[in-house]
Amino acid sequence: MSLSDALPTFLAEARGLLEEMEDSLRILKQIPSDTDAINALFRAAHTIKGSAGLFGLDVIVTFTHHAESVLDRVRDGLLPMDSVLITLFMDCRDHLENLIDAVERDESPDGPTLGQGAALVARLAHYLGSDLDAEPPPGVGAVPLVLEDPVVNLGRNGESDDDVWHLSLRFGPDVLRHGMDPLSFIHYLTKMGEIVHLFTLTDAIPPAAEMDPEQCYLGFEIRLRSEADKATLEGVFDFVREDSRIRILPPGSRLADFRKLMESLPEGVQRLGEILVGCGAITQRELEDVLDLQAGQSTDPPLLGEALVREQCIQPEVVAVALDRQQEVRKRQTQDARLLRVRADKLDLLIDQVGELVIASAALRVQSKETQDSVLMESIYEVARLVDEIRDSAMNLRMVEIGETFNRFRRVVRDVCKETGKDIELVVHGADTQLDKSVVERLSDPLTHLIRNAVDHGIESPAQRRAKGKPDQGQVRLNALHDAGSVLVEVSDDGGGLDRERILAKARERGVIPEDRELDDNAVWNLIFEPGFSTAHKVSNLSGRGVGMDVVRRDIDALRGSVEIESRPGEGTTFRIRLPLSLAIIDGFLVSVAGNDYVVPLDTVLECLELPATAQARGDDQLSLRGEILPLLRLTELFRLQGPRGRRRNVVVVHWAGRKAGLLVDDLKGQLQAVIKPLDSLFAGLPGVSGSTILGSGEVALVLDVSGLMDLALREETQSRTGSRSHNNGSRIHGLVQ
Amino acid sequence: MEMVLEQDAGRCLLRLEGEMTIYHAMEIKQKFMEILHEFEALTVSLAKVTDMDTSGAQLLILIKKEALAMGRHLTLADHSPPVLALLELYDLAGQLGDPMFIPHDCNGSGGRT
Amino acid sequence: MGKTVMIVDDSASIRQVVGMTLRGAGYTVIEASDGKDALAKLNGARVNLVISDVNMPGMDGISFLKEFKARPEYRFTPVIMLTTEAGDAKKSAGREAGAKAWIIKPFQPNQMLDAVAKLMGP
Repeated sequence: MSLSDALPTFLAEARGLLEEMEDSLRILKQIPSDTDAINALFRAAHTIKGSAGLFGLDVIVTFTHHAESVLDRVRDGLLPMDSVLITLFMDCRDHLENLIDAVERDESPDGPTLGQGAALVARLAHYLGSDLDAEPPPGVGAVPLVLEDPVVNLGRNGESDDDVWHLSLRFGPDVLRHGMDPLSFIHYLTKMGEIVHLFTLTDAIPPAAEMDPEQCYLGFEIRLRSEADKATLEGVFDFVREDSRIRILPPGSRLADFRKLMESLPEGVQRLGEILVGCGAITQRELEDVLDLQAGQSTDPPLLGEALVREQCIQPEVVAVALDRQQEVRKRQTQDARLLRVRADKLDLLIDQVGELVIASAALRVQSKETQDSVLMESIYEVARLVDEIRDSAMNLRMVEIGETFNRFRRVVRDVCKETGKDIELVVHGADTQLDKSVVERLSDPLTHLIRNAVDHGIESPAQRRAKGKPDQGQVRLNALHDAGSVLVEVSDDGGGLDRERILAKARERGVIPEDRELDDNAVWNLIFEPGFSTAHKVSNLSGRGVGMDVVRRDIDALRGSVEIESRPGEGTTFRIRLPLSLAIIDGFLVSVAGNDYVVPLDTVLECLELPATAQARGDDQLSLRGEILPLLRLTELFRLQGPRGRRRNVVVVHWAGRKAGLLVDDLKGQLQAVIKPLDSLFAGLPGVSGSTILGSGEVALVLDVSGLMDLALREETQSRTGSRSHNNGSRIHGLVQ
Repeated sequence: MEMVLEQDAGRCLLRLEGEMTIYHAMEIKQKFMEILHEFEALTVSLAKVTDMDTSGAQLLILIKKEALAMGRHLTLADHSPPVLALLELYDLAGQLGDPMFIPHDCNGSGGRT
Repeated sequence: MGKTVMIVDDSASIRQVVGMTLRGAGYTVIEASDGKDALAKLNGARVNLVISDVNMPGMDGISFLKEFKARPEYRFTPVIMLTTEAGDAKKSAGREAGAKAWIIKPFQPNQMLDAVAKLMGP
């Protein structure tokens, strides 16, 4: 079940509402003041906006929002409905229909449509005056997803390894009557972290005669261990905030903060102080300090329990029971699953050792085959299975959410905005996507670069944007998602897009490509990764990019990743980075060519087949697979191998980033786990190879870099296409390897 | 909400059956006060409480406080799982002071007769 | 568990998406297309939460809320109103009628799920 299942309902509903809008407008043409028709028109716009938002159709939401705002003023009698307005709403209706058509075709609206929309918004703006750019606010409780409040980070940076929040809750008297039970909110808190300690204040319950059983008298002091931010925690209490007193102190808050808290609550400093000491929020000593500060009160406050007894709340033995219970609870909490901080190098060592274990286990498997001892082999397979599981769990330990890195970029965007005077919003999706820690760390630099570039060069100045009919505020989107055994990270902007002509001119000027060479868009965009562009400062202002992009490419290559660019003039640019989930150990497929072993990463393998004899005889460099033409890469030629060849040829069909190719090999030797070792400097520059691994037999095999091979295949294809004109038709791959 | 009263010679057992929620808070409070006035020692059985919200928890604290003030011996017993879950979340076991987990206890109603 | 949520909205796609989202999270969902439909479908049935649009043809959200809260079996049942930012006047009317929780349209399915989870407890 997904949103797309409900999309037909949305489309049908939207079409119905468009018809209603048309009917209402027709009535209004006759009688402009018809309130029913005005209401119906408003409701139709309102409904379209509401459901479009649910489907994330932002263009429709934003546009309808403007129309709805004007209609709201008409409905409230602030604006008279006249023929000019009716025509405007007719146009708006037609534009909405275009937008909905685009949704039905599963396309984003094209340039002219967007232009039309912008023009209509400008016309609508006439009627709105100052509150024009009131964008639709975010959903529940209007809390931004990430709050740029410096207080949020109080005590969270630095070395404080304590991530325990303090929540002080006094619920309003009517919350129960409204169905807002504190129980639900506190239960919800347990989803955001672990409640380390909770104290329920029952002091406010009056004697029976005055007690209204439908009224809420309870208060809570809660210690919550959570990695959520302050806005998220505050958001939990959105629905009761107005009537209740909700105080949230971030981890690492100082005594002064607690003192303020104690002084502001009805229970008094002494009583609350003891509770806070009991919760572990402050120490007994700190409480004494506070009490001292409070001018000469007792420096020796009675324990909470004694105080309770004295106040005749509870019998002495009850206190004893409570203490036992508290200890019991504490004991249980320490046993419960808790977060454990482990030094990264310990983890790295573990991964290394697991890597060795995987190799040793593979060796064992090979040797056991030779013994023909089936019992031994069975045991060894069992061990191998366990090793697999250990490998997976160990790799999992290193997985972290990419969001930590993402948050850093808000500052980057803000800083660059300040420098350049632009207004840009950073929209983040998929911050919870998990990726190997070392990949995340090494991704930070290239991403910073791409985002800086998007803000600095990609997005136009507000004036330019206005001239193009775009909203003043630009948008940079940061997206992360899992896709077929790899992770996709996208940086996109809604700026002017790359300037093809500018890049080509620059490339020719720099001698990166020959004067007369024609290139398709992809090849042009890829030029910006050429080192020749990195020193060019001026080109970036016009073309959009250019500063140090070769470094970005190099960083991503080093992660065994790839990057592609999608750019449309006037609409913006997307950089799509594809990364392997992990660097250290992969599932691979072992093949041999001319007596040499190679490992193909398994997640890139689609299928294997025998090369038809006819194709082999002809020496084709293409393969027709169920009607699809794939480029065929001969590893023998690519790596200039001269060992003995078998008679048969097999093809491994691989895919990467939406492209497919066939690798021509001799033997298919089956699956294995490959612990990737970095290449010696000798091989480091070899295209098509990303690392080496040690096989169970003790021999070394090279791990193929499928994305690199694809590039070779693609270049070869382009070359053979333009081959009739160019002179290097004969030496196909050899020329490229150099 | 059903409230069944079993009594003999100054002792009383009140069985609560059903939802101890705000919808029944008024009647439960009224019943609690009635039996507090009437009996010296009493036990409230929570075995058949199917659901409890914050108002229910408040009532348990109220009856405990009142019993103390009036010098009555009141035991809350046989906490059902929903009751236990709430009291545990609110960490009220200490404040209420009744043994939990163990259905019947010698600490029951024996002392004062 | 086994909590029941009612969604009252004239938009079939909103009902479908909200219904789908909440059912996916284990709630039982009753869908109604306006206030009248909702009251008819309630008819004493057990409901733990009502989510209602404000602006609906037929019986609107505020009138529905008043009638709903007037029924003793629902007097303490929480209600989330769906509103647009434009509806401040509506909001105070809704407040008087007993609505305390608001979600601003447009919203994402997950925001709805979070809001429901905050109110529904264990």
